[in-house]
Amino acid sequence: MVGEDVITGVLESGGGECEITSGFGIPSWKKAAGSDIDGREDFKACVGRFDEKAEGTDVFNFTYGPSAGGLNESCKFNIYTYGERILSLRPEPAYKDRRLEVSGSGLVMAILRLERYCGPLSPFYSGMFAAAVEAIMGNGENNDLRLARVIMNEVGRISDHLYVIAKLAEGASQNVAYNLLFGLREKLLRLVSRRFGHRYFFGINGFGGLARSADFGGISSEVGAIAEEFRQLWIRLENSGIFIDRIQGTATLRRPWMVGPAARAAGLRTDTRIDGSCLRYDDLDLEVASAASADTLARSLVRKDEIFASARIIEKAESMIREVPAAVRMNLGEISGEISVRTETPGGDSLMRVSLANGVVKKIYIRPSSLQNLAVFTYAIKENLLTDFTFGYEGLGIHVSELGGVL
Amino acid sequence: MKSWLTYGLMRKRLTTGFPSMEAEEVPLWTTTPVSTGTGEAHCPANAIKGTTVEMGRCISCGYCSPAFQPDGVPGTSIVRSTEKAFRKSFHIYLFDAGSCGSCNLEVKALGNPYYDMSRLGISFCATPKHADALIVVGVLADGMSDPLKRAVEALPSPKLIFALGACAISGGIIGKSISGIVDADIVVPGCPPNPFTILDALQRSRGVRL
Repeated sequence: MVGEDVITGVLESGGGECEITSGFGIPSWKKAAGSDIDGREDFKACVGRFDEKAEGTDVFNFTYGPSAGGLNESCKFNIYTYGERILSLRPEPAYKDRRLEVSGSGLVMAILRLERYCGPLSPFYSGMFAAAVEAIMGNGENNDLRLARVIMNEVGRISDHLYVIAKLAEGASQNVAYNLLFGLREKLLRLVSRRFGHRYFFGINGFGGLARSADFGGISSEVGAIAEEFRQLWIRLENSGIFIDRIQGTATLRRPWMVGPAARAAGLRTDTRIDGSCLRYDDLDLEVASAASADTLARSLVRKDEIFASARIIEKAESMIREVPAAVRMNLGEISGEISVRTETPGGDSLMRVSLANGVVKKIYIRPSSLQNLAVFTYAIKENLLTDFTFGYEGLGIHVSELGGVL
Repeated sequence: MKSWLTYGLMRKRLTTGFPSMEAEEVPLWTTTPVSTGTGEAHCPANAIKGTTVEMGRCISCGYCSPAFQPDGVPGTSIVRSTEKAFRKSFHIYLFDAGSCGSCNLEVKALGNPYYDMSRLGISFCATPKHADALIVVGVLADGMSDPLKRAVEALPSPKLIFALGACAISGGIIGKSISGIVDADIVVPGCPPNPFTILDALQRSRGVRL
């Protein structure tokens, strides 16, 4: 468990910057301590300010990005090298910062914009926002809606993990594995499209229910078949010396402020699903995956185990789900209040602070898992070879769109 | 244990016959919503004008249902100019101007075995200098204006520019479109457009009759 003194977020409150130091419980914050926290790694991980540079004879600095064929999303990296070795790396993710405007929006527009905060993680962010609004409205938790959101999130988690492992296989030139894994992900997206009406769950999460009807019947058997196909692929991948050699010992890092698969791969038992404030998993037989070596291989092993765990959770949730209510679209009322929610996205713990005034979003703050994971990458890639860049970066499942600000 | 090659060959054929054959599983809400004549439609993106939908603004949310229902036809793109020089070989470069990440993944999905765009002579390239077409996704983030201008300048002629997704075309509900920087030759609506729609647009942009 992460210690209480670890900074897990930084938000503006009361006219000043406040640090969130809640660990994995209900977040609380206090005024930032000032310049003395600037040097702390956990603080940098929450604000995304990196001043990592290296200088010296024969140190070569070059830039990669912001737009490059090898990057799925735009991000600039200043890489300082000595020969093939990376001495230091300074990411600049602000290039594609869209400054997503949510403050001042009505609730329906806000949830649609938050779905597009990070498209591949749309069920997580829209679900988090909907849960926050429902809590402020004082609506009691609807068990069927909770189970529906759990199923959507776990399908999203499998999709993201398949993508990450596919990218690692691509980096290691395991082209058959890469194509079959990408094919498996396509199969999953088609399942989502068929059952939820949209490949990325856009337009599905609503307040007090689902905004569109969804078909949950038999979903676990389809997801289970995909997980089984993945198992066959993974058996071959873990027997591939080429694949394992590229990810073993690559981008190793252990820090108490890490989240998600990166933390669990370093032996930290942190998972917001255990005690998060958004969705309960206590009756769903959640098994928290873990590994010890804290490198890209360990992160892949955690993701692999989580694919199977998610398939089991979906099976359990499907057996319990009855009738999911329809969302309330109009007349949400003059709701006011403030609340924090957090959820376990595929990359780890993400926190959202929602403040509503008279049915309009007054202010919103998001501390996404990718911010922490970008910091993990920045520190972990040091002393690795330049050719390890892909494995370190892709193995963390960073979504650059998540790093943008929300206004 | 069987080799990767044998294992791969033992899988059944996954690749679609599209575009020569019908698309087998089109994601409905990325296609054009058509008026059903029942009830009033609420469109958060202001894409509905009377009984028609301006697809460049449609964010595929489905909030217009049941007054509108998707037609399931993937060919929603508008092709303003074509370039026949790319009929045999077509190199595309994906440019992320400020997307949520889903348009990127749908374009990249064209490389998976279900769509396998290489069978049609289409491939990704790593730099705009070697590309025939620039596929721009996302709203125009301030920081990406200059890189976008430079990417367009780096494209050799002849060239095609695609605006892909509601954000790039109209700004959607997020921000501003790319139109202030570059005029798109082909617009591919959807949020995000599905891979069939993208494949259809790529083929039509190089004058391939479907």
